[in-house]
Amino acid sequence: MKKKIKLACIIDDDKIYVNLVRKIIETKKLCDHLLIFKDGKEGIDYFETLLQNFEREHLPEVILLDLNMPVMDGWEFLERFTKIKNKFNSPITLYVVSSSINSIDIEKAKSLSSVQNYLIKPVKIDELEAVFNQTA
Amino acid sequence: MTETNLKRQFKPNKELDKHIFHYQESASMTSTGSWFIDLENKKSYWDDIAKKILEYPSDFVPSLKMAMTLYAEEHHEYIANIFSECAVSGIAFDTEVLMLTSKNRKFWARAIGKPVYNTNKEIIGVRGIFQDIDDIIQKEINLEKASEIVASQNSRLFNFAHIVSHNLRSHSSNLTLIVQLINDLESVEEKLELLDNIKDVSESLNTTIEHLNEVVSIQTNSNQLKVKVDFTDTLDQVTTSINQILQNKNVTINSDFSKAKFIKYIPAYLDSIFLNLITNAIKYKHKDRDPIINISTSKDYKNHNRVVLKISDNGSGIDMEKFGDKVFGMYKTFHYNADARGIGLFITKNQIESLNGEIHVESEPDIGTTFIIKF
Repeated sequence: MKKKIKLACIIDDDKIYVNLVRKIIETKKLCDHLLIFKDGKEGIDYFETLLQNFEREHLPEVILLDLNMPVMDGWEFLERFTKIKNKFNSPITLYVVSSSINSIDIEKAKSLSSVQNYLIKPVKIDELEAVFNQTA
Repeated sequence: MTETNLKRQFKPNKELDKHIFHYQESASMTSTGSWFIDLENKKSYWDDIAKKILEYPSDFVPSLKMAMTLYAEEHHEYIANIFSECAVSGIAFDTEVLMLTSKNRKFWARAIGKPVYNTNKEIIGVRGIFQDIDDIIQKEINLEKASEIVASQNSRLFNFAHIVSHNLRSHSSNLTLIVQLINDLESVEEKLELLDNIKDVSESLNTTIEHLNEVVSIQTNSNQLKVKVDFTDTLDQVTTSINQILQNKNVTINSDFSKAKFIKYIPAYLDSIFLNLITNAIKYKHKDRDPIINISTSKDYKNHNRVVLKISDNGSGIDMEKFGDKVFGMYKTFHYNADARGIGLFITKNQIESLNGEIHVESEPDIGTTFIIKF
């Protein structure tokens, strides 16, 4: 039997998109809890605090990361996240979800070891389902 | 050597007159004056065409001392160098310099010079010509300018197309998501709830299109009439219109427009530049101090007296290493202020560039930001 994902995390500044994805996740019951950060800074602050406090239970299993965000964009988040990722001793699957169709962005993201895959917005409901089922 | 010298040395004959005639004709048709510097006797000679080009009377007697006054100040060092290399080391030159006439008119000239030796192979003088090539160089400069304008317009258009595609995509993808959800959801109530989301998307789509329209209108407005605008008046108008904010945030604005009081510009653009940069300084004020904004103008004497506007603040600053190239991008905000909409500086940059100006930013986190505009 598949284990359902407990905690997932969205890092994205587009409120409408976040609300819609939340709705899909709730309706499809893809995970139990959802963390939402509106930019890379909020996101990385959370993970760095978790690491300091050894709070592994609040560690999301899936991250959906946007690229184009104010304050700290997805790239900088990835840079800092990659440095601490392995210290959690727990698998975290990260997907980049962006409306950029620029092949340079796509190739660059896919080449990073901490990025599982690159999803182009709009994400499809079955794509989201696949993300949560694969990881679970 | 002058024409009269030539006549004195040789007995006039028909053959020589013919040569002199041809020499003069070709020199005058090509605007080429010739000269000779006699280093032994410290004297200099110009021919008639040289005097004509330099706008001196034909009976004018040139001297060595005045040599430098024939060249534009910015080329003095250069000219001194190449002449001394020629006179000392015998290195001939062929170059382009800015010369000055007696009436202080600047023009571009091709200057050619070579050393003159005596029988002992010692340098006793420098002989050469200069040719008025101002027309050619001006055309070259204009061509370069035109090509720069085309290149910058092209890059702005490309940038704009990119922005349009990116900004519209985020809305269209949200709409697609909504449609998917409507199809997927079972209950009518849930479907109806999504109508609110459509409302949100349509609102933000409208805002995006308004912003894009603002940018388009800059391009079409840039051929509006430029008029003489007074910096002090413009600043007064802007500060009056945002007086409430200035008082609430305890803003101090110091201004000094004594070095350049006016500019020929589109008044609405100057208003908008002042408004955007001042409100920007207030939005990103330092959390521990009241905003102080210093605004001044100057003239860049090295660059056709271009008017330069400087607006500095003591705000929170921008990390230039991280954000340097993004400061003027659309929807790039570096702080989470409710009113940061990431369009002001983009518009400002576009307005300035559409009138062939430049804007640069210097900033240090915690110290402040300075915007420099070259009109």
